[in-house]
Amino acid sequence: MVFNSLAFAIFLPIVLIGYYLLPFRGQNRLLLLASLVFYAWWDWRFLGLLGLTIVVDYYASHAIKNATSHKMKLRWLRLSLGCNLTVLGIFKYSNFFIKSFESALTSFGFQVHPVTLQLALPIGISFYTFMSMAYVIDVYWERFEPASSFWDFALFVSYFPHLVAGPILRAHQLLPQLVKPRRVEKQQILDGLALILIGLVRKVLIADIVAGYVDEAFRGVSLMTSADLLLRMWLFTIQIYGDFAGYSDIARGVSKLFGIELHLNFATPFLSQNITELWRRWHISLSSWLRDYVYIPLGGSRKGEWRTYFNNFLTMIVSGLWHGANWTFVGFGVVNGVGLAIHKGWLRITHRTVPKGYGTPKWGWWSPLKILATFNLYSFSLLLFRTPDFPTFGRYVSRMCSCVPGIHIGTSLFVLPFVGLTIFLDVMQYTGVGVRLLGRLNLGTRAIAYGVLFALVLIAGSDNSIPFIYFQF
Amino acid sequence: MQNERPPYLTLLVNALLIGSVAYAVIIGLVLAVPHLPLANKRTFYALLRAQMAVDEGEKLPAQRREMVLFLGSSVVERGVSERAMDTVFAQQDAPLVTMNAGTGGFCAEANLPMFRAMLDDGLRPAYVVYGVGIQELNAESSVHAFLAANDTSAVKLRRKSFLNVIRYGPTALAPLINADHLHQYLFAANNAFRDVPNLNVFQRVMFGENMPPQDSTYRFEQRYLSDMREIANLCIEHNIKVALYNAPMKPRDLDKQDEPYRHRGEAYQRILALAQGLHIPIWNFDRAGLFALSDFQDNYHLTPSGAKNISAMLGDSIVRWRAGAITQDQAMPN
Repeated sequence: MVFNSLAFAIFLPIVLIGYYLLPFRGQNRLLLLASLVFYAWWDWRFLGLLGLTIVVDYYASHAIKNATSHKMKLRWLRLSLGCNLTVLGIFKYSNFFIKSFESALTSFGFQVHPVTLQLALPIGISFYTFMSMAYVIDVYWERFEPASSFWDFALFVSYFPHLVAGPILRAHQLLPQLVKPRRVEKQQILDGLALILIGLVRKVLIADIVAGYVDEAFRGVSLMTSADLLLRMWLFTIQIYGDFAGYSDIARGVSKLFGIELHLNFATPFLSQNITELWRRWHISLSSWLRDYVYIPLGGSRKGEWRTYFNNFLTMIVSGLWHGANWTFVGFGVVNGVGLAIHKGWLRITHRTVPKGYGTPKWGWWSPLKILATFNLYSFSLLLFRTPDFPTFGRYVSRMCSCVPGIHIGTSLFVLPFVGLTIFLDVMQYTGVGVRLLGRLNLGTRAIAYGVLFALVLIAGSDNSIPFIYFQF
Repeated sequence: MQNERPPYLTLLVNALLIGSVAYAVIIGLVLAVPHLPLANKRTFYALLRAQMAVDEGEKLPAQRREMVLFLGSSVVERGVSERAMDTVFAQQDAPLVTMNAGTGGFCAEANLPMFRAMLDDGLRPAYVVYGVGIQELNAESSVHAFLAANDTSAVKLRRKSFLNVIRYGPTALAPLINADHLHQYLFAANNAFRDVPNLNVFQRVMFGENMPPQDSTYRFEQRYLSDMREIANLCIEHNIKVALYNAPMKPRDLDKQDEPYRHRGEAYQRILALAQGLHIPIWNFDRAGLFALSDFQDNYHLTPSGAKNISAMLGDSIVRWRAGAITQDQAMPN
């Protein structure tokens, strides 16, 4: 079930009615049942994998807590991680590794015919597996007490707003909200509606419309001029941002209607002035996950300059592979890893720092240029995200850089309003004007403003519904 | 102390108000956009032409005039000037009005379902003239739309009732936020193919351009001929007079001739046989000397001045036909 579908438009009100009528424990049971229905809507058979993750990690976390020796704790942690990574490995990475191994052997002159697995990728597997793994690791590190109720833990992993495309929540962010009675505040309802609408605008009115023009370029690179290819490289960045940030907004908005807060996943990443800042603002839940469970355990910045660059680089490769089982995703990680390492080196030389978290940096007259450069670097790396293989990527980049004259002005003008809308939404969020403005709206003006936007969403979304890109991860 | 509304009531009130405003906007737009076809199919451009014909047809009884409805592909859409033809009719005191429902954008296949939709909607033209672009009879042609069955089956234009607007309104408006469809809409609604002789830069940006590719292979398309026969039979069934005409192709030197061009004689023979079998007129305008090279915009499409020329000739043929002459041009394209 996708958020921008008729099925979800019927599903959500039914769940909300039941939720508002039931007492606290009943609410949790209802949310768990709704989450399972939501997930089974794609393929009920994958409920087994979700169930396996929940059962193994729930019991592993308690076994870790109750273990009498460090060795036993470590054994249970390994069992849990091994189980999660095996499921992920089989369903997401097995064919990639088999084919890569085959290519490597072929390049040395050995002819092999390995068996590949015909497996469908379970929706959202990377998201819920990472969430569940982080929970077990936190229990192992004694940062978090294991959930006392199996059903609460099952709801934590499967809670439908975040289940298939994040944000990747930590136990301390979500579990405490699930174990105590909740009161839905009026402001949460209003904020929730605003977020759902903004998410739908990002997804249906921006990402899906822009997608048509992006696909055009990747279908026929040789028919495009250099300017058209450059434009579509930028447009793909806007598409993926609209798609993913849109999903996150809807997820947060829907969750607010249940009185449950989900963490911010995108903090205006394209107003970043450098690549380090961008990665602190882009897919925050994944970036912080990788920082806490990959980068820091590798040694972070505590083991010297060169090791810091290497740890950064390796973390970005893991990030690339998390996105997909393909060498182009590794390439995406490499480009960003190199970018981050160079920027870190530059910061060291110039004795500068980047604000922690997603704090606003200083603005100067050169800031727009820095924003433009950062956007272009990231857009370039996203080409690897979009192209199926390196030869296609090479053809795209080579034609884009060959100064083939001309531009389809009609198309370019047509996409301008959608690009403008993306910038507008981000500036509103970045400056905080959006929140202040929404806070001042009374019932009538809110209904008119939201109603007009909703009409546009209904119109744009009535042609067909394109699934969210991040579901495949 | 002020009583605070329970959260579910806040949600309900807001959702209802937002939904009401959204649908009010949709209803307003559906009623405000001229000729917007209300339907549940993707064939927007063809439906737009059908709706334009239906809208025009509703005005005619009051004017005591009859409609000459043109069907076909972009060779008709661009090649028939309503204004030029109506001038010929006026000069010869024929109470006829031309309605060009030629469907460009590679949608020739849409003609049959759209014609059915027009008949279902009550349109009763006195005459139907089907213009054939001979390259459309090439099954290997890349200009075929290859519409899926769900695009064309049971296509029905809906009346703009409250319930229909609620149900089909968003789908009907969706093409207007698609660049290609918006271009087509602006082109069609403004008769830009025929009435704007030389597109300036702004109009090119707004309307786009159309240059069909040259086809390297040729195979006769039986389905297209069957559709033409079905349209002719529907006309006969509804007491509508029907005729065919063969649109001109730009004369080309031997080395520039593509396969459909080389087979145009053979294709013409098939439609001539169809016309002879049904005893309906067929006029061949793909003949040497009728058009100058400057009358063509590309290999298939006429310029606005070329459209005026053929429209004058077509107008004469229709007036003679109205007087009872059934002309079937035996001369092959040359």
